[in-house]
Amino acid sequence: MTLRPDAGELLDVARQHLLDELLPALPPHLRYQTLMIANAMAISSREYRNGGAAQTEEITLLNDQSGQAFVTPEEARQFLASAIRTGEYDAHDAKRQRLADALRRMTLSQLSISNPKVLP
Amino acid sequence: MDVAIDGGPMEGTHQWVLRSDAASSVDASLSRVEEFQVLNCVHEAGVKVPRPLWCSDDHQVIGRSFLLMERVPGIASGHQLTKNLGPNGNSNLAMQLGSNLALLHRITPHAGLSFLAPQRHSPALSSINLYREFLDGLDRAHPVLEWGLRWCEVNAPDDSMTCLLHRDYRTGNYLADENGLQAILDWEFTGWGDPREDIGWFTARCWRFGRPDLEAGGVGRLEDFLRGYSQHSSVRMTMDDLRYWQTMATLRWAIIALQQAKRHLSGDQVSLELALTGRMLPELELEILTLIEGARP
Repeated sequence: MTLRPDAGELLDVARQHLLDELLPALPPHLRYQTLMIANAMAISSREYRNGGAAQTEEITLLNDQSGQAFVTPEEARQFLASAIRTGEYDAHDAKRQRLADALRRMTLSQLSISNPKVLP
Repeated sequence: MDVAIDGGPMEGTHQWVLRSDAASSVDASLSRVEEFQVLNCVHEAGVKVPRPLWCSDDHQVIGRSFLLMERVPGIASGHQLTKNLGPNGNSNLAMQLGSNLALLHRITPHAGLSFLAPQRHSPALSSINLYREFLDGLDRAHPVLEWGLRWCEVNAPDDSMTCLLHRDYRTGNYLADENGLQAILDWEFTGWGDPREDIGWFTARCWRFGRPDLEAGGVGRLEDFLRGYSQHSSVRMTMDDLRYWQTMATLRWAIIALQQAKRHLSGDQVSLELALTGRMLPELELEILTLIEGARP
């Protein structure tokens, strides 16, 4: 186990300090940049906590669709991307629908890290 | 700049804007002289743009190419323009944006703009090929973008029209005030293409800022925008066309987001803003999946 506070906890407290203490004291022209920094810290914190689970889910979903047993997400993504491009999922059948559902689940997991505010 | 002229037909004081080439200009951009010719052409066609006044590529004048145009009042910020609107948005502005885009789309290829690359055989398929070439150069594959590109390939329109496009016609690239639309800006991506591409880009969800429910650029209803458009154009968008070109628009923006992330990651231009733009990808991917899911098989 890593030392507490861990990376996520450190990012959260640093971000809160930035927004509560520094932002009100900064001149208005630095407001937008400061909010961008706070956003980058929030994404990093969420990825630290949930990135591993999202990646495991992604490999499982990709392998389920392709019928392969890839170990890394890079290989699994590449295989499926090629299959989509060559038209293997063109037919409007259950296989296509399963892939559409899996792509949506993976995308929602990524969105919950990058920008959960816009989750449907 | 504030300008005072003594004598001649323009005697008096004026407010002008000088646009010049940045030290590192982007590949896709027109030169300032070409931009001036485009502005002249669209101004003559009745499109609301800042009146172009003068251009020069003589580097002895200010060290760079430049163009001069009238300064136009108004707000460009997408966040401000989409704020404090009622449920139907600003129907006057939406109509003006539609009618101005239609006036632009009445311009067909002619010798005065011969520096613009000729229309490609199928603009949609050409774009799909370009995006795939870019994706093939990345370390990471993107199955959702491949899903979108394949759908756009299979459903590519077999009819095509050619007219002058703005190619970045969206909220954020025009000036408006309480009197409505004042001027369309940022013409450096102009080229020949299918008019439906501009409509898809303008109405795509990624350009609606604070009002994703208002399909006309976050400022108005789609029906008001299309009513304005139909005043000057016989091009009719079906709902299927709209969905197709909105998907193409979202794919284009997703590719741009990846390009911006790459510029940051390669060290060419280290920037927090470019890095964060790369992280917009899941939002764009979800929109691509939703658009395709809602399409008829």
